[in-house]
Amino acid sequence: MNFTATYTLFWRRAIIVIAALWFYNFGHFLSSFCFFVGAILADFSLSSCRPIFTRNRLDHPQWLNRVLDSWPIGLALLGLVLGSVPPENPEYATWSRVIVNFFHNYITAIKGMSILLTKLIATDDNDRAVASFGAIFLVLSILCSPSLQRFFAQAPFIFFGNLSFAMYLLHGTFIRLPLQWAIIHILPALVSDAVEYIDDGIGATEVELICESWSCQFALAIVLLTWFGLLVVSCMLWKKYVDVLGIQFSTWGEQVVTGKREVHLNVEPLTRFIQYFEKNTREPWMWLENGWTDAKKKR
Amino acid sequence: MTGHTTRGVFPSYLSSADFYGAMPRLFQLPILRLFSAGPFWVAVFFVLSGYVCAVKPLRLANAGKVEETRKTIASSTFRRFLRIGLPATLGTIFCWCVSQVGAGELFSEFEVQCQWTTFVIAKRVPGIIAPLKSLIKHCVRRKNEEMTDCSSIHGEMRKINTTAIIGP
Repeated sequence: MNFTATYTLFWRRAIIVIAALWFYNFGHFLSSFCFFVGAILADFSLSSCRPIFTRNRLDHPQWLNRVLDSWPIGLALLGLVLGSVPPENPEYATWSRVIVNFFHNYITAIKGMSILLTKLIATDDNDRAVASFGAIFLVLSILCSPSLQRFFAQAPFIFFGNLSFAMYLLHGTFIRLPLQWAIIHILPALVSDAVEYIDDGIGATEVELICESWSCQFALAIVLLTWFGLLVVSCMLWKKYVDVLGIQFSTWGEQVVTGKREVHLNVEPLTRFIQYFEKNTREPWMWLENGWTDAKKKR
Repeated sequence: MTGHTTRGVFPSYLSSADFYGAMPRLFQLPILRLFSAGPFWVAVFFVLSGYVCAVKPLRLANAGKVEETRKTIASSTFRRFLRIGLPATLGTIFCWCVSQVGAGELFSEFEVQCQWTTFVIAKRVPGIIAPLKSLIKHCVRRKNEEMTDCSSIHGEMRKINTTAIIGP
């Protein structure tokens, strides 16, 4: 554990890169590969972000320097476009079809340029691969661009970033209850053409959201905004009162395991139980086979 | 969140167009589609998680402070599990309580037509032992489809294992 802490810089980086490639091929794509690439980017951020071709700025014309300084923004746009590729039916539009085919032929498939590494690069999770590379490009561009860092450090991004974990935990329940209730009960009461009820023939009624008129779409927008506001308020309360418990619990746990805090456990009930158990079970295997009652009868 | 909402309410926006060769709608266009691009933002989260978990230990390791590096990794790894696990467990318990009081019965005769098969909330489990077993199962399994997504615990465990084993 933590053995690479004593390694040299080169070998530490090499191990992180090897781990990222290993998880790219054999591990869960998102959580493992992206996690290690994040570690690589952390190492990258601790070194200079400036590429070689921008170091000799005085040798270049000013317009060229401006273009070269803008490369992170171009990379960010590329990452956002890659992230926009839909997981379902990407072949329906030209732009997504081209991107998915490129990844399928040269990045994640077992043909094309990867034919030499046929056994190593093979994943059927192509859409998540595209999204992962988009995320990597976006984060890399933010690390290399002070202007992008200033943009993403603004209050709305910080606000929703603080609520992200609470929103992750609560959004499922809020979609399943308030939003579904609003679609089934509130929206049809506001506009008549909101939903269509379809009897599926097996005892349940399917509710299909139609909402083609402008009035219905306006009402749906109001409902969604209200629901989202309710979710945000709930997340703020969760963060204020529940997340704090997690922080306190983790601090307490660390103090206990490191010996900085003593925990006095009342073991007397456990001791009494063990003594009673030993006293009343001379043949424990009988208790295991026949149950507690039979063991008592045998005595 | 927006990805799941889109999957539940506007499933047509999950594709790049309504059918092959069709003109994409506004929020089916590149970059605007990010509003409902769930896998992309999840990937951003994992990249940022790797960055956050590694930047401080790497800074200490590059400075030659080996013991501080190990202490930092051990502390962050241990605290992260408790920091993430407790709220996620409380969230699952909250959802379990909501389903046990009969919230799923509110829409038993309806099912909103969508592509998110987990749209329907979990039904109430009768009895005493069975609901508790269901609760424990949903707290520890990787993905529970009817309650709050506790895959964060499994994902955090995977990250903890990989961080602890590999380094820095």
